[in-house]
Amino acid sequence: MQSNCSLTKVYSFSAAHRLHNDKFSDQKNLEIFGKCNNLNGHGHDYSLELTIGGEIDIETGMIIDINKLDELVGVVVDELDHKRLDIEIDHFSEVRASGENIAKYLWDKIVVLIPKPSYLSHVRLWETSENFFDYKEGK
Amino acid sequence: MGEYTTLTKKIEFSSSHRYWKEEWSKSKNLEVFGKCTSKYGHGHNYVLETTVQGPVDDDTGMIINIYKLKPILKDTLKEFDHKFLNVDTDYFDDLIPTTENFAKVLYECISEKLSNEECELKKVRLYETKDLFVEYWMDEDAE
Repeated sequence: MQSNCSLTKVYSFSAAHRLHNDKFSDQKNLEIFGKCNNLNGHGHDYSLELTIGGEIDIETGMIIDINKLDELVGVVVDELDHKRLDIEIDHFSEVRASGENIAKYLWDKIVVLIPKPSYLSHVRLWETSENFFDYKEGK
Repeated sequence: MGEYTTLTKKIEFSSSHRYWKEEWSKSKNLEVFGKCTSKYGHGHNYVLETTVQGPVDDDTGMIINIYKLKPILKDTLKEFDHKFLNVDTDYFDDLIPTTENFAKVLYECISEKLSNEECELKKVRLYETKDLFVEYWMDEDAE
């Protein structure tokens, strides 16, 4: 049954990254990644908007228990918080720590943790107040 | 689906609520609803974003005149603004006033009030705090 209700919770974390690909020459890295290629990295205050879509439980009046959601997502977000992503997070040693890839990483990590995985409907990752990246699967 | 235009109006209001299920024990209520079980309720500055959809009138260039929409929304919110939702309204006698249920109630109230207008209610987004909101939208199957 298709639901017509969703709940969105916002989480924040701050992290540094450098966009760089060893396969490319220094010049090509600079050409593609611009100032994001800065040798010593740079950082952002990220904001993650997580949307859970599903039926409102008759007993609780909730789609999902927000306290539980906070706990689960907190673990994932805390791993990234105040880290240099491409150095300290294994996943980003080979995969560029771009907004697109971080959004997908967050989806993949969170979808296996939440009680009803099919309820995860949308991840929006704000990198700055001007850029955001959306990731969703299926539907 | 063809092209469509929507208009969204944002209004802030304040209410208090309490999550409590009579059939449950105190410990079960506490386990599920945590501090939202606090006996005399607690409050939020809610922000309601109402999105309407409909044809853009050739003469006015509008889906609905804001001067018409705003009083409809204000009138709807009169029942909820500066009220204790559980006690001062009838909607939550058998329904926990969670953000999900509150969004659904507001959707239904506004939808009914717009029933004589050219436009229809597409969606409501109800912010309970700035980092938590619920959306409730038109049931496409019912159209």
